[in-house]
Amino acid sequence: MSTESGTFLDQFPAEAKVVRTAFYSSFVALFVGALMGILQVLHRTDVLRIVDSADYYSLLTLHAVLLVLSFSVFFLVGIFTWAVTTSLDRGLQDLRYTWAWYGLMALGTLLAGIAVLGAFIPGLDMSAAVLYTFYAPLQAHPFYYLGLALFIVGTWLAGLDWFRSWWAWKKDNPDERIPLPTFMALTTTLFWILSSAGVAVSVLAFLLPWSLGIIDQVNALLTRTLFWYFGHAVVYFWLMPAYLLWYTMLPKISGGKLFSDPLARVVFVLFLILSTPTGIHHQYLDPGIAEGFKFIAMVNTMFLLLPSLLTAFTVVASMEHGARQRGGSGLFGWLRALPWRDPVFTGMALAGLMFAAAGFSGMINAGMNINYLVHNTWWVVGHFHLTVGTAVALTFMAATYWFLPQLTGKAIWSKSLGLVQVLVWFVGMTFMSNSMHRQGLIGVPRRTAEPQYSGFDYEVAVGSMAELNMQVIIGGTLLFISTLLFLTVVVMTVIGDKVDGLPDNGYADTLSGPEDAPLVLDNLKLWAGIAALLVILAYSLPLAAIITRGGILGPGGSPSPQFVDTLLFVGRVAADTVGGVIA
Amino acid sequence: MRVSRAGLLVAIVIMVPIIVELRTVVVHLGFDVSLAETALFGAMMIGALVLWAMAPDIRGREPNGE
Amino acid sequence: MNIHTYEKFWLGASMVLIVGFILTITYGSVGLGIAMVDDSEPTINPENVGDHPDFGDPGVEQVGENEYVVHVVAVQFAYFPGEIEVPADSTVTFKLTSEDVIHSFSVVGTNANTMIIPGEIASVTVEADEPGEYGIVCSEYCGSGHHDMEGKLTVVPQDEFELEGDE
Repeated sequence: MSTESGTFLDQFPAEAKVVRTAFYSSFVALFVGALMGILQVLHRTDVLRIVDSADYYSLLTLHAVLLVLSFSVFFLVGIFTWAVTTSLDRGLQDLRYTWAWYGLMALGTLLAGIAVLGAFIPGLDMSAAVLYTFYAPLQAHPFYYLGLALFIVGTWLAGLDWFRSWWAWKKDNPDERIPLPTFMALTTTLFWILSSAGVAVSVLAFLLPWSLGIIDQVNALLTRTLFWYFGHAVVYFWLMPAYLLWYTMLPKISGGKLFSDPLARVVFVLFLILSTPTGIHHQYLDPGIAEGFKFIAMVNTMFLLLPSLLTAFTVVASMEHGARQRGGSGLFGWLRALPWRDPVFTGMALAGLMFAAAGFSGMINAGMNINYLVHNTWWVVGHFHLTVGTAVALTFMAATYWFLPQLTGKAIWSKSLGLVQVLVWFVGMTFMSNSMHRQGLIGVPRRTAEPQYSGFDYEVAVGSMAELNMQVIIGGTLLFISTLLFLTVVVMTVIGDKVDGLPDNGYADTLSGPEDAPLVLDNLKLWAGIAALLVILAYSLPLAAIITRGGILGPGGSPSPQFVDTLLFVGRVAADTVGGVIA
Repeated sequence: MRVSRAGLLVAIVIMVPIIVELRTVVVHLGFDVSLAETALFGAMMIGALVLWAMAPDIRGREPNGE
Repeated sequence: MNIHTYEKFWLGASMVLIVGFILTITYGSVGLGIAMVDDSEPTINPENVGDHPDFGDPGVEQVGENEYVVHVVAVQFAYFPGEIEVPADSTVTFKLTSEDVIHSFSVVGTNANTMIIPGEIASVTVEADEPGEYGIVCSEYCGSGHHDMEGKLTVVPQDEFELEGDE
């Protein structure tokens, strides 16, 4: 496959530096995000409250933005850059361009982070306690919106970088099939650009001008709908690199081959066309949106189960193939022959197992009338800590144990500690997520600093509230410990010495290869066109209805908090910021 | 041993969610199980698993897992 | 395209599962009549909620035999009225709007749960069966005092129920 064997660092030293830098950025975000996580666990359960409850929401904003945007997307751009470079066996077109998009993403994260942390600096009139969803009329400092916009533009340019590699490769290899990892990166990029256009419109046309005082009011339902137009596709954006790893790395690590290349392509095409026209399922309980639109979103969402169920089959089948190659036998006996000692394998396998559980709670969320019971309760938080918080995060951490040697030329400092780390994550998440789901079922809300109310008590079905909280504390603590173990292994590996004899760069071969996949699957223009058409069908009428009802800027209302009223005010804030930084 | 040490460790870890969820299910079926009883039951299940794993493989075959 | 027999079986079973899910939800909507919050109510200017004929004087109102409408205004960080009393065995429609940011009206432990969006009026109809006390919480983050936003819904036996101002 590769002209030159060796690690990724040997083959593509300049690209390895890009991927490495992206990973390190991701790990910094992971550390700060996890720190916020443990602070929230202790705050909510009233064990230790080091900040005012009013400031809890700034910590929560930081936790969400750093983990679901910075940690996951920085890791994603690293993975996809590796996948495209390795599978096309060619370097990126122009590294200055590559570093430019990395720089935009880093600057965006920094600006958004400053806007959030500004709330803790006395005298600085700055805050962004609007959470990751930034529902207007809650208003953040303009830096927050600007940071998010820069970050997203950076990811678009990154996607274009992978396309440029592919276009150049296609010129040299006109008759070849798109290699599977590149195919995955490209289809993911397409739906990402399609979906994030929604949040870009929301931020650039409405929220940023509004926070600068250029427009007085926004339509709360419209900006919320535009957020969710992006807000569900983004979860598949995080998930796709994990899927890429399950398809292209896990079979190899298990000792076998990927079961089916054509089905893998089908799965990614389904995600491309179905990821975006589902966002309204986050708005089942919103007034102002007709029931029919909610039903359409639900049907699309349910069909999104299909690619995930297909993935479950292929991944398990590939693992079984690997185990049998290693001498495993019997109906279930082959499970014993899997490389459980390897944290790369065990981490990914456990992540996949938890993702299956998450699928069930996801179906409850997706059922529009069942959603009444769980909407905005802690159940939902339990659900997405299994998806993005485990299926994605644990897969990324496990994959790091394979990638780090490829990127640094150094051996993992302690694979045993790595194994302990992924196991601790699994146990910690079991406790935390189980309790979150159960608390959600009895009505405990998400996103609150103090879920203790004066007027009533929760009716706990099993055990007591104290038990459930204890479960969250144990789980959250284990997760924080696991993060620290992970970072310890990373740091100790990076400061270690280079070694020889590391495994070669590469990814899994397939049992049923691309020659079995119909050519039409590689027609990206066709699939992008269908995806755009479905989005237009699913969204043009709801958006038109919302705008007709409330007006493009809404029926009225003022921002909250009102800390930036006019352009003049912005000038003063900018001056304060500079002053604050200098002082 | 019937499974590798790492395999046993993973099996124990996978028991944790089963034990945690089992309690919820059992209570919903109408049997009141306390936290201590669950912990005891869990310890017994894990103990049984460890005993099973430690017993010599009667088929006399070494597991291929590391 | 070469698809393994087992995989075809799996694909078929998956489709059955998905269609089954959609059918159960559809049955819930059509058969059991669990309607979604929708766009049937007009919009409202959040700055003039006080002048609105219904929301200007929020509270419980009887509209038919065993049928009640409750208008509630949500603000940072309270509901008006904060304590709501309705009779048992009645049909209650909550109509909710916000004067400032997005809130929710979530009756804890029940499926009476909706978003309250400024500019929109949310309408949910529930059956109040058994007498009892329920907490109402705002489950949508609405600002620094979000965790203090709560209310109370009391379902009282029919013979003990009196509308405000009737005494």
